[in-house]
Amino acid sequence: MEQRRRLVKRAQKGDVEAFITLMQHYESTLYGGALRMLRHEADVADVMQETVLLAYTKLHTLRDAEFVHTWLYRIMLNECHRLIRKRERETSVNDTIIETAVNDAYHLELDEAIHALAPIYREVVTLRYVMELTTREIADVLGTPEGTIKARLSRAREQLKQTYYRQERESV
Amino acid sequence: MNEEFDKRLTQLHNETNLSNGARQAFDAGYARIREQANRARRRRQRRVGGVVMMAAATLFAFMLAFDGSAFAAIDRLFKFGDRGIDQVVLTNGGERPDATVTNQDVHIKLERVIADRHQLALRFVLTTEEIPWKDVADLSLDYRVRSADGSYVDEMVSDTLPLKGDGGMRDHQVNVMVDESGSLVYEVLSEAADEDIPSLEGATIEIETVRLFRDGETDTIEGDWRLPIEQVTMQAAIRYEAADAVSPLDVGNVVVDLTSMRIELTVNGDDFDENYFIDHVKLRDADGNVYNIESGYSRSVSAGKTNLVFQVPFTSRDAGPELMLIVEGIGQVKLHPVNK
Repeated sequence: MEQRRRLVKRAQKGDVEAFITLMQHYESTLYGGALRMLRHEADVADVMQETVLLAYTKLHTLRDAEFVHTWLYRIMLNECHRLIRKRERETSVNDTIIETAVNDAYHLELDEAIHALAPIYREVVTLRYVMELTTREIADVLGTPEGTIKARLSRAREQLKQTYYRQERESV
Repeated sequence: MNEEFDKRLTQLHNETNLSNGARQAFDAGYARIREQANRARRRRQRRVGGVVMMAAATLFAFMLAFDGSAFAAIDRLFKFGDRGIDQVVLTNGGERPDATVTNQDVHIKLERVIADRHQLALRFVLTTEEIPWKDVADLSLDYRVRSADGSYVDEMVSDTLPLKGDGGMRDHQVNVMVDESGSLVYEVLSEAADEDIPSLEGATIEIETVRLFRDGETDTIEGDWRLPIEQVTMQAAIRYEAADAVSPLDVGNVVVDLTSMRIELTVNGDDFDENYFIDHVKLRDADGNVYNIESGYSRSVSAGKTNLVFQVPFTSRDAGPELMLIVEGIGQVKLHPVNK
């Protein structure tokens, strides 16, 4: 953590290579989160690039280096929401179906179940289990009381469990 | 059964390998910020060199045309080092909407606006009787610019707030200072992203948060300050086109506005060094003044060609009958105005 704090400070002073090294620590987690939120590889790639650019532009607004991970995840989530809204508008106009490309390492059953969740539940599951945030951190990222987060997680787990085992039964 | 489910859930974190597409996206993002950093470095170096001499000559001409207070004005107003913005400051200082709103005991005045299709500069002045400013080390505002049709032109908000539109503009530069009366001044200069800035007639600036940074602590004031900017009108743009249809430079839209010229250009080849065009694209006017890429730069490749969009600090006040667009090592083409 101390190393990342130093990287944040160097990056805030204009060291581009320090910023890139910092981002590389979070690539896999950012990708995993965006993949669960969006599913479409092309959209995920767009969000990854925008997250890098936005984080670089707004790095000076990060006041506490200790929270760089939640700050980055918030940027990624905002970009996911922006793209989801854009896709909703496009779909409503064109009624197009975008093909889903799935990653080889994408575990279909559980991920299908996660994607079947309502967005507010999908979001907390992604932040908790894919991005490994605590409920306190999720509350900070989403600007929502911790109690609400816990309740959403509990409901999300119940729904996930039902969908996951139903899929397993149906596939047998 | 529950244990198996819980185990699967807690393993999710380790299950995702980066796809090729994501790898390329990260690398493209890193390449762009390296480009940005190199561009900024070159820009600083150029300021010390020839372009600065040209800018200084232009400023000196303006100082002669106006009075001694002009130099004081540029020292305080929109000091972003942008030649086009400086020209406006020195001529009329920009539009003065003078809209003021008070909320949460904070008075916010939208004092100046400079707007064209490529850039938007805003100057806010904050005053209060209740909150001491003097120990404030920094200030940030969360604001959105909403056009008359309700769409969001720009959203300069903290990443803890959701976006209401597509995020809007990019490359926001901020100046914060205290003026002679003790008021806090917040200036921001933003660049258009992929599309031109639309008309701001009937637009409103919606400020949601004032954040004051003191040593080790942040004072966040949430409120609702809505400042109308409807009287700000954009002038007609001047368009240029290539005089020679057969050229190694395939010129797209070329638009000169109040603060800059935006050029779309395509050249053959897709394996140029990432900084090649930043260093080798020049615009030369009839007097021999040379303008380099200063902002709004983006580059993409498709079908063996490189597509460029960029801005040079050549403004509608500079617009003349003939210009030369040069890409060193590739070619040059004359541009002439089509609607001046």
